[in-house]
Amino acid sequence: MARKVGICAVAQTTFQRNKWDQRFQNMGLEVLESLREQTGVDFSEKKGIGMSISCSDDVFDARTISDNGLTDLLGGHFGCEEKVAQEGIQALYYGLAAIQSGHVDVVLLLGHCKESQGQSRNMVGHLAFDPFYTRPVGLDYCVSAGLQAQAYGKRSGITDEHLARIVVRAREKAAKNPHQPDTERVTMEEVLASKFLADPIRELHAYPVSDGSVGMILAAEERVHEFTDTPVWITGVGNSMDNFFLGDRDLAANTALKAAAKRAYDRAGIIDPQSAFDLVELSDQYAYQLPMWMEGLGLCNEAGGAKWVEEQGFDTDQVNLSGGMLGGNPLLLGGFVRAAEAALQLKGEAGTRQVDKAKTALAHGVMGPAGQFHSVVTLERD
Amino acid sequence: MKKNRNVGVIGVGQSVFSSHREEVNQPEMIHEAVLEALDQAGMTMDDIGCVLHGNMELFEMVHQPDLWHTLGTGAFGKETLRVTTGGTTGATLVCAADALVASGLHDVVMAIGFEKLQEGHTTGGITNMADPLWTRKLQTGALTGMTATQLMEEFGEERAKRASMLYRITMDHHAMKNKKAHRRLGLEFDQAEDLAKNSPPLVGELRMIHMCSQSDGTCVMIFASEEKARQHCKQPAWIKDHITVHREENFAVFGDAPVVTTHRYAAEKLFERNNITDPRKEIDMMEMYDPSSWWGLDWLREFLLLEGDEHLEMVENGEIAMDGAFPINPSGGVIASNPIGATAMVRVAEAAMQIMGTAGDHQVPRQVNTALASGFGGTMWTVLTLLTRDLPGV
Amino acid sequence: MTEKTTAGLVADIFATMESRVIPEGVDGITANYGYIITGPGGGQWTVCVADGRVTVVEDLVTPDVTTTCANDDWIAITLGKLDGMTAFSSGKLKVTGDMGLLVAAAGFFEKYQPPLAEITVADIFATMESRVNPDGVQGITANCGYRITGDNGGEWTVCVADGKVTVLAGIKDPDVTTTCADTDWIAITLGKLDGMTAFSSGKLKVTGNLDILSTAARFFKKYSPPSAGPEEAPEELIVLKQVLSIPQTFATGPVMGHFLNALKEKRILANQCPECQRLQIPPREVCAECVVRCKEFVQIGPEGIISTPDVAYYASPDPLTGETRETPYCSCHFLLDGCKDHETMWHELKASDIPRAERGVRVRPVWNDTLTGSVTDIKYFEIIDD
Repeated sequence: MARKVGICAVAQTTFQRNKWDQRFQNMGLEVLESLREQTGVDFSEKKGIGMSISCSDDVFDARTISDNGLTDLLGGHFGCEEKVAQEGIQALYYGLAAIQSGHVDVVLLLGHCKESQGQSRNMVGHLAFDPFYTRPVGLDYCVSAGLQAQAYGKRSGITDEHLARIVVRAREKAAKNPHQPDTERVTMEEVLASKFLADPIRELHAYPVSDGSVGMILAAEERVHEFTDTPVWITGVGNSMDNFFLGDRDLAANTALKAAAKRAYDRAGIIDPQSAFDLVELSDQYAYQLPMWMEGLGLCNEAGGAKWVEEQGFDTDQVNLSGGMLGGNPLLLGGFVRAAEAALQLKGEAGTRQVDKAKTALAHGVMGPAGQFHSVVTLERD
Repeated sequence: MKKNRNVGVIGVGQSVFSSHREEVNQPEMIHEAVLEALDQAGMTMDDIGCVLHGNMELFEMVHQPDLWHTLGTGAFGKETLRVTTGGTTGATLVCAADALVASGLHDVVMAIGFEKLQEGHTTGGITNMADPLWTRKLQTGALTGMTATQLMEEFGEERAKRASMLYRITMDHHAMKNKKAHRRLGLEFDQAEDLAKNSPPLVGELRMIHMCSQSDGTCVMIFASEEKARQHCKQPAWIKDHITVHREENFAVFGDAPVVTTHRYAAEKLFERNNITDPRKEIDMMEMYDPSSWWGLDWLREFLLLEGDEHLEMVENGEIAMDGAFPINPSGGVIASNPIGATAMVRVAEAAMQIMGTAGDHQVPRQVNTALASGFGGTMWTVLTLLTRDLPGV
Repeated sequence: MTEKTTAGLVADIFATMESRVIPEGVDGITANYGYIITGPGGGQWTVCVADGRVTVVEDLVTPDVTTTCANDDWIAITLGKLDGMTAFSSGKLKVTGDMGLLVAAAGFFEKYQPPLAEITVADIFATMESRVNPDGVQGITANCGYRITGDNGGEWTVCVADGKVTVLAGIKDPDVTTTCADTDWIAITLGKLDGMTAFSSGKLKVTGNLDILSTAARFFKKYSPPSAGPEEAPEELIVLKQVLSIPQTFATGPVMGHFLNALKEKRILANQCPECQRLQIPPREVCAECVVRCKEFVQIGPEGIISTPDVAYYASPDPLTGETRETPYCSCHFLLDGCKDHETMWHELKASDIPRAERGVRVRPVWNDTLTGSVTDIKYFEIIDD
């Protein structure tokens, strides 16, 4: 049986529409300094960080081997630095495996993204499609999400009204989150009147463009207490890949998310997910995804999304107290920030958004057109 | 540090490496190697728990390419992990695959390194790794003549040039025996002088004949836990250890002071923790990421912790040949085939094949018990992987 | 390839060049390309490119670049059976003169189609026994007579029995007899003329048991004509060409930004590690050795010495514009005054100073007239003459 792995510390920058005055190195350094201050960890060979896992994307950074720009501050000079080029929550998956394998004891995770740098993040997402068929027909992540929102909305009875309620509530939470200084409250009327991006997705239904960085220190159970008194254990991980072509999938079926969740629950020994978590952080890139992912995770009843929204399930189930991605996190880091926020809650360090007595949590990340790839992490404190 | 459980390589697949793979698209080219690896491991996709994927996005200009490539990788319904570290990507994928199996998260994983360099501009792609505000306007891809200059200064122009050509021609002899290799030129030793003089110069004394190719290709490896490996493979290649050592963004090697290379540093650490005191005797062969015959020649000294001109002697005495005392790159190496995202994995895969005895025409004629593979990338980054025939003690 | 089929092929390759020109490929190029092709059928040619046109001369006329290679290799390269770069690397193809011109030459011409060797009706019948499709003749017993008219014609009987095929000269006990012209029969065999269409249009006449003939289409595998070119041209696949780009706005941040701003005042700044004291050029947020934030800036240079010069003969295209710069150029690490060890600054050396580029030689920056706060505010470094 492999050893347990704990999150010792979490740090993040603010997430803002355009950090025009900072290169990604500046953002990363802010996070690194906070993590080192919290834990006292260093890069010494015997006791320090044995491996750094950065998370970035060459296309967003417009830079081949984007992690090369971070080598210096990741302790990569005569040290080990790896890069996860996927949704940032996957850095936890890799870090967990590296520690459980016995290869290292202490791992630094650091993600960055500047969505403001390129002319449009949709131009980046567009490049995820194959050049022969799906690019020429004009697909990007937003358009694909529109198709999925149509399919899911029809199946679960989600209306424009439901979506507006989700956005208003998300903005409400984000406005209380000091890491979201640029995100303002909106009214139902404003959401219902906001222009369409890809029917039924309106502009205010979409996660805002943002720049920022997030990081964590992970350690093996026998080393955790050198760095923190309040470790948060990674109890389960699971992810899954769906088909590429949208036409090959049932867009409302949550195929990949269900598989990802099952793997995480199996590894964590969770039998009844509906009662397993004190709080949940979901990557809601678009408003329709909040109830849809809840269904996929088995946290609300199948096709019960509309009722869940009407009954304000997001409050009873303590979902996205941070404001979620609708509060404004970059595509690449959505799940990573969700895991960070969940860990902060369990550590009791969530400040203005802290809930009482939370002991268990679930964090979720998603990547690709209409949720082609999902990743789930379950967390628990002592 | 204690490894949680042993991990073995049980299957390798490689597409044909070539500058002309226009007849297949990216997922199709990946699929070629996936099928071969599954076949060699005696498995189907049902046996695979996780699919790892890596390349360099800006070479093909595909964002998060594992999404589209699912059509060829077979990742549908699987767990996946995408890791990339530039030139070392293939070796990094091996490290990650080792971790996923050793941790107990998975019993069997498949790692895929690929590149389709002809679909973009390679040197432009590499130049894009430089900081956009500074060195991007100065860099010339991964080309440099500095190593040639240094070797000529140290050992004399004539001897250094001859040794680098002997290295080059030895690699071509090896490539001629590897039908998957991209460049198989049919060079003979009596051409050394002519080629060293007449091959077009690229940077300084780095000439076209010395430099690696730009290839399209995929490498796939299947890794399994001890139990699964024993069920599926008569002779797995066990992963004894691996080490990753990067270097700072700005190199800091071009001034006037001694330089410790990441290659030597990584080798010293790896050998120390595996109780290897005489690498030339205790290791049987090496697959080296040799981007040019100047670097291949120079790095021999670093990886094997040699002194003085021992590395030149090894080349001059034919020790690095397939039937020599310490074969280097029986596959033909990177000079023969270089699909960048796959290249570093091909090194580990070819080293594993030598232990598994599946290298066919380029199988080293004596038993390989311990093999070393190197990956190279970034700003002089190193990954070393140590493979053994005997099960490592856990 | 036999000598007979290659005879005249080299001459044909050059003779057809003018008709195969791709206008965009030769656009803007003015150069004479000389070719010395050795071996039987070889010779000397000059391909003159100017004003978007190509003229081929059968001699060497003031070539800017000359390629020498053996006839067989040249044919193989033209037919795509041998990679030009491989031939060049392995010494099969030798080049003198301005090598850079050859890069463009790959895009001058449409693909060369070798003339087909003459296809004879006799050859079609002679190869039938070797082309039998076992499934197609399974369970069939029949004699099919063929009366092929025209200069190239003749009479044959195809006898099918016990899964085997025997072809006899002359018409022998036919169950069905087909009559048609030699040119039509060749066209049908090559798949260029549909058999049923030929029958319907009267080009092909049949007497006897017609049903047998309907099965005859499956008797044989495809006929490959003897040809100088590839046996069977594969389907010409489409290659999609696109330029992809996303406009970027790169933040410079307080460290790099400060350094770039100083360039506007012709000052070169380094920053210093508070722990190991080393200088970093250009300044960076942390010292990689100590992994601590570097805040102190120090002015260095502007003069210094050459530390490591690297002369590039290969023109690396600008990844943003695709333009290639002039070669050779010297990418150079300079040790500016106030710096030591590996505290070098990377820039270019003035092209005319390349022959004197040696370690230790003193240099100074040459600034552009307009300073924008960019690395190119320094045009290059030049050697200081005593």
